[in-house]
Amino acid sequence: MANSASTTHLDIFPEDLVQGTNDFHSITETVCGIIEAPKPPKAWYIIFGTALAMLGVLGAMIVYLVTTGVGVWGNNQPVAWGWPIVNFVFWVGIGHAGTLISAVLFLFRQDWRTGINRFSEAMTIFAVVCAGMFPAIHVGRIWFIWWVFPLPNQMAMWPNFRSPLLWDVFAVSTYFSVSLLFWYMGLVPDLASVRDRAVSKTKRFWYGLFSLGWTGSNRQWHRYERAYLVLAALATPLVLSVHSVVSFDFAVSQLAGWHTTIFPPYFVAGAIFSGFAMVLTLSIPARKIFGLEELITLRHIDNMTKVIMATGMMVGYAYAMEFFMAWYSGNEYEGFTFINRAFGPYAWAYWIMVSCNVLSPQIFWFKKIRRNLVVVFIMSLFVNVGMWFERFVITVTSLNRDFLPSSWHYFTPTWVDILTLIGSFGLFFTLFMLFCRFLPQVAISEVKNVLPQAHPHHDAH
Amino acid sequence: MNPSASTTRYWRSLNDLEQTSEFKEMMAKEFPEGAEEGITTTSRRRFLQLMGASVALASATSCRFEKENLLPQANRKASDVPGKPKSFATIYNEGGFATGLMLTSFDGHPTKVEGNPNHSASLGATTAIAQAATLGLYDPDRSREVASYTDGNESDSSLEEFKTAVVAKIIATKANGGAGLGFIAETTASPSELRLRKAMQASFPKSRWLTYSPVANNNEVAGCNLAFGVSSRPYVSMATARVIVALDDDFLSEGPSAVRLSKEVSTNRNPEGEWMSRIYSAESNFSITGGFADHRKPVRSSDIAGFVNSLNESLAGAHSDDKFIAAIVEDVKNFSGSVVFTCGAHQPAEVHAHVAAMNSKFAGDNVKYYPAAVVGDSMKATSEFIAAMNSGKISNLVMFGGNPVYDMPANFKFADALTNVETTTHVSLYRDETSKKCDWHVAQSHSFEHWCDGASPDGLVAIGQPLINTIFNTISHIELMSVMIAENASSKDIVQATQSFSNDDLHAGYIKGSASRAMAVGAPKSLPKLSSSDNDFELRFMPSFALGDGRHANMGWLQELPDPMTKLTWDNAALISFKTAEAKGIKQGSMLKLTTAAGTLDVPAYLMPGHADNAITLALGYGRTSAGHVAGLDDDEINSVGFDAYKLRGSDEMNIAAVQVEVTSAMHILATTQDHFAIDAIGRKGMEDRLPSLVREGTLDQYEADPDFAKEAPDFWDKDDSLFIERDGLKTPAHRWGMAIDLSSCTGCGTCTIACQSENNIPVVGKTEVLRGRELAWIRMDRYFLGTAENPTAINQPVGCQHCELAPCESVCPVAATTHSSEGLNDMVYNRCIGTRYCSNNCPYKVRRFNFFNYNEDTELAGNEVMKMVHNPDVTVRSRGVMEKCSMCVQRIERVRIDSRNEDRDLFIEDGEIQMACEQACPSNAIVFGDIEDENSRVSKAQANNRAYKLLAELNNKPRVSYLARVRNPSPLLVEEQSEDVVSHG
Repeated sequence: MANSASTTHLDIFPEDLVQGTNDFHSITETVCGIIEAPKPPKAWYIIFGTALAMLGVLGAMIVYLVTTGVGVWGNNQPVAWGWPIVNFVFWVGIGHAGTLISAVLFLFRQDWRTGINRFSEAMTIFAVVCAGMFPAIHVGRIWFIWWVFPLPNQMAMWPNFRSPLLWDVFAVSTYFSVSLLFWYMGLVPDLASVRDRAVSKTKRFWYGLFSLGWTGSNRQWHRYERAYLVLAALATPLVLSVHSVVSFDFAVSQLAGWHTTIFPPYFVAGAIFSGFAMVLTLSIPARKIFGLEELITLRHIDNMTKVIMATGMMVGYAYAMEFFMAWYSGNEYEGFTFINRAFGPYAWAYWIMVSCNVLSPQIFWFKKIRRNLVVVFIMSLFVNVGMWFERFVITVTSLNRDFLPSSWHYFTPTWVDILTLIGSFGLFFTLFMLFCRFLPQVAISEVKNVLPQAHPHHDAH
Repeated sequence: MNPSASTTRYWRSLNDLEQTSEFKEMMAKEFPEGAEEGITTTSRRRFLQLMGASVALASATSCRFEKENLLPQANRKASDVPGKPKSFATIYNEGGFATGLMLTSFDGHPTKVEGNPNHSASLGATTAIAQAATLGLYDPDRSREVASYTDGNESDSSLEEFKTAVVAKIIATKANGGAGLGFIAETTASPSELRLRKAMQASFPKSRWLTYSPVANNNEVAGCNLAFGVSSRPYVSMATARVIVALDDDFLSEGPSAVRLSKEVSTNRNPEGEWMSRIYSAESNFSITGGFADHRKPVRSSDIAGFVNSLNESLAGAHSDDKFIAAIVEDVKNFSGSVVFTCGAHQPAEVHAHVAAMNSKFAGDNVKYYPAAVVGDSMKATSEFIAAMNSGKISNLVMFGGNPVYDMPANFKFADALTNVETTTHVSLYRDETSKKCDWHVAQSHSFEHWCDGASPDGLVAIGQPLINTIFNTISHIELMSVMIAENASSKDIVQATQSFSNDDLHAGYIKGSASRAMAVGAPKSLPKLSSSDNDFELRFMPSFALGDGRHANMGWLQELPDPMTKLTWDNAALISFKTAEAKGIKQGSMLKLTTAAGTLDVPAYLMPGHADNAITLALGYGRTSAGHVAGLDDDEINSVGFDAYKLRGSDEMNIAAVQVEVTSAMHILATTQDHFAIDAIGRKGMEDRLPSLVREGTLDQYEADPDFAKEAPDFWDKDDSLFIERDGLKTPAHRWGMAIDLSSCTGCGTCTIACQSENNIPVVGKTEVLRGRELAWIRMDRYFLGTAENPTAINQPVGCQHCELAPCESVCPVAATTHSSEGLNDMVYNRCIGTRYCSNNCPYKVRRFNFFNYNEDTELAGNEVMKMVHNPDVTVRSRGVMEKCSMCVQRIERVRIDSRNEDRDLFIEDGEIQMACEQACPSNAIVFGDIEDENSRVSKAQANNRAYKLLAELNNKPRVSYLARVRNPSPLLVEEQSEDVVSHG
């Protein structure tokens, strides 16, 4: 890292990852204080209340859907996949940043991850919960959804292992289990801290239960660190695999606009892009509300905007390359699909996508902007919107005008589509607000690790 | 609207050519369609309404079963195998004439209509309307009991009460010759019904009679009278006609001979045959005949007279600047003796007379004349009858069928006239508009419920056998007439008393030797020159393609059958040309206020390519207010489907009226199955680029010069580029099923769609769902236009599942719900389907259909107990949430296989032994199904034809369905003009 004593320019010295006059004790105080406070801040009530209401809407929409039929959505012939699949890919994408930050950055020894990893892992889990819901409710006969699992049954039927949707089932469920495990394991020492400080019996019981008898002994720390490393190594390929597999849903099909080999890396880049944007969307208000400014610092935000800019350009490259390949292949259907995408009836969606995903992150070339929280927050929303539209553009514009012009049909969502999407945000924020209130939002032990006090010799070895 | 768009080659509808500001606005809007009323919101209300009906029905049917004199069979007859269908020959009367049917019956209830190959009017095929006859039989809205009305309040009564109250009175008038009696009946050729009408006239000599049908052949017969002085009717044969000139005549879909003519024409549209006929069509609206023709010219209906004048002059030797006429004249010269002229039934008698004269000169034996039949009374007689009603000269009126309150000329004010008659009775299938204005309604039996007879246009008599006892407490016309003359005969006795017939005749489906003999009409008289019209703006009334004159309005299948040219469902519209619409500022769906001498009506406009200018064509049969739960029922607050064109129809202008058009700012949403939305320049370009390879066509000369013209493949297609090791050699199945569809024969009539719907239990989905693009047709008719908006040509392509050997749908289903059979069928396992819809996304033909709702249960009528009887018991009724699609009538394959196995010959199923429902019903022999393993099968030969190509073959899906490129036979005189339109292939 800061191996640059030869230069005197101040900018290249990274700022401290923990700001202010924090020591080991004050960090514990800050993080545990949020949980121990008799009442959460007012903003928490407002956000949680809104999220809960939205969750109620989601519940109502699902009940309506299941009792009535998927016709309550706008899906039609030829657009058999509409918003639910768009939402699925959107949420899976969001769920990417968590594991990337916690596992990949861990393996690359990027210490700045410590301030945000707990946060983003939680976000991952909740986003995958939202994502997993969509393919399940989107099928015509939800009561038979268990047929997609390779369970022994009286019909002696296996699922069809050739179907990318089945690969999805495995990819997403594996990703979810590993992410959950990784997140929970990281939580154990912190839960023990909360348990030790708890004053009420209930708290002591529950935190005690989930901290698995952690005492903080040397042996435990040793086992913990090994296991953490192993899980990080396991989770790393998943970061690449899950969205690659999700992209196979499209890439393996025959449809012009979907049938593209660039999809796996393009989807992974897009997922990281949207995941980091969502971490920013969440952490910027959270650090303010819960007083975590000294732990989640401007340096963290700066780093994340750089990742966004890099992945945004990768995504932009993919957009361009898709056009090139459509032309280069000489396939008239491919060619038409892309021209239609950019200039046809859904051009509005395409240009929203391009301006949000490719153009807007370019302002992060400027350090001032990277450190302007208001701008960064708004940009992160742009990216979220842009990435939702990316999935919309891929799914709907390819389907609505496929091979035979007689089948062409514009897709229009219904109010149920819209409320279900809103409702999925309700689910996400409800879970996230509960996390903020009841679990340590910052990995206490890990942040302590990056304090100067933990490394008396700094990095100078 | 951009006139430069006229250079467009292929497009789907006029919307495609439109570049209006509204269009752009709509495109700019994110959600142009808006939230539509869902199927469930309406259906819940209708469902409750029907629950009441169903309960009533349950008790009604149980009564019925108690009364039946069925004896249990101690020993089952050898021919009765439970679950095994039987087929009986019977008839279907449409427009007064009969056509022969083979009716499939499962355990005593008929389910499927097929054509009778022995019958001269059917030749094995049917119309779409006849295919829906079983739906009519089980329509829960059909009247179930006699009803009486006092002050408009309906109450159920019984036949006995009716007999005491009305029939007794009628019989009592016999003493004074039946004075004060009035009868209205429909035009018919049924010998028994005609005999009984005569018998009634004999019993009640002073009674007044009126024969009225809203669509009749009066003008044709009057024309023959003018031309030959003999009351007769032309009978056209096209099998040997080298040149066919259709004058505002949609002979492929209108009239009693449409099926026979389609069959005959298809035999000489074979490019591999010795010769190929050439068809000219001069017509106002773009009909399927116009689409099928080699040359078409838009001519207003009222200008046909002028066109005939010019044609006559040119035929007499005058030079014509009109290339179209010159080409006809040239062909007439070359093929004199086999040139047939046909004329639309709605054209005035004078035009018919001239056409008859031309046929006498040029048609040879291809046009014969038969005795006049199915002729209604003149408008003068009709108005006198109504005057008699109004003046009280008729005190007891009985109407046998028809629906005069709905379909009489508006100026007669028939409903008012009814109030001046003391006792009025309507005998009909439904408690319709007329019944509700009467004192009595007598529920009529469906023709499959009683013995009947009928004659086809060549006079061939056929007996209609009943296939089921009356489901409700109903009576047939002939039985009721028999009651009124105090004979009380059963329908069988009546039919037997009319003519004797043997069991062989019943079995064959017609009485041998009963066809009339052609009349010798002699030479035509000299006819005065036709006067040309002075109509500024004409309105032509056209019987609806699907609903006829309106009597089939409550058939959901027919309401949802897309019109072949407009693709419109669940509505009629004022069809108007592009140019006229532009001049008047009319947009697609603009509400127009039409005013004729008879009345005013607001109707939506539909911009129809190729329509004649300054003219509107409007279909009759819509806007019913008392048809039923499908088409409109004011009593239950169910809105009418479409707009009632009869309100504009006056007795002086029954077919073509002068009309004033006022454009209003209101818009109406029209539900089409194609072209749901306006298209932008990019979409249009995309279509133009790809359509030549999707629907391939060429001219006869081109085909002769390059027989493989349809084989060209896109250059990016590497045929050997397959990653799969195909397992063909491992196990050769006994059969490999395949299909071939000849685009040269297909007229686009859509009968296949209804035949498939009936065979495979496909529910209707309703207008809202059609707007959402969720119609369920397993075989759909794609229609594309080619050329300019002023006078395009059209091409049709029936598309069902292509049964790809490397089916893209199969590999993507996560639960393996769609798999391949060893014989090459792409099977759909409904029980296994969980509805991910991935298969549909991956299907390049988009032939897979999804049950977005529980269409079979939730739509208003489908859940009804009676309605369930229409289902084919061999086909699963699909539930909500599953995908469905063409199964290649797998139940038909299996049925034949079971039989052949029982006979130990399952490897030797004969070619043609298995017929698909679509293939069976097709009036133009366009569809062939069979075993491609058998080199000599018709399908193998068709697939080996030079013209055969596979749709989107470059995707390497290896479809089992081949299309045979369409070949047109343009006149050499017009070919240069058209060459710019002809698509270059490849």
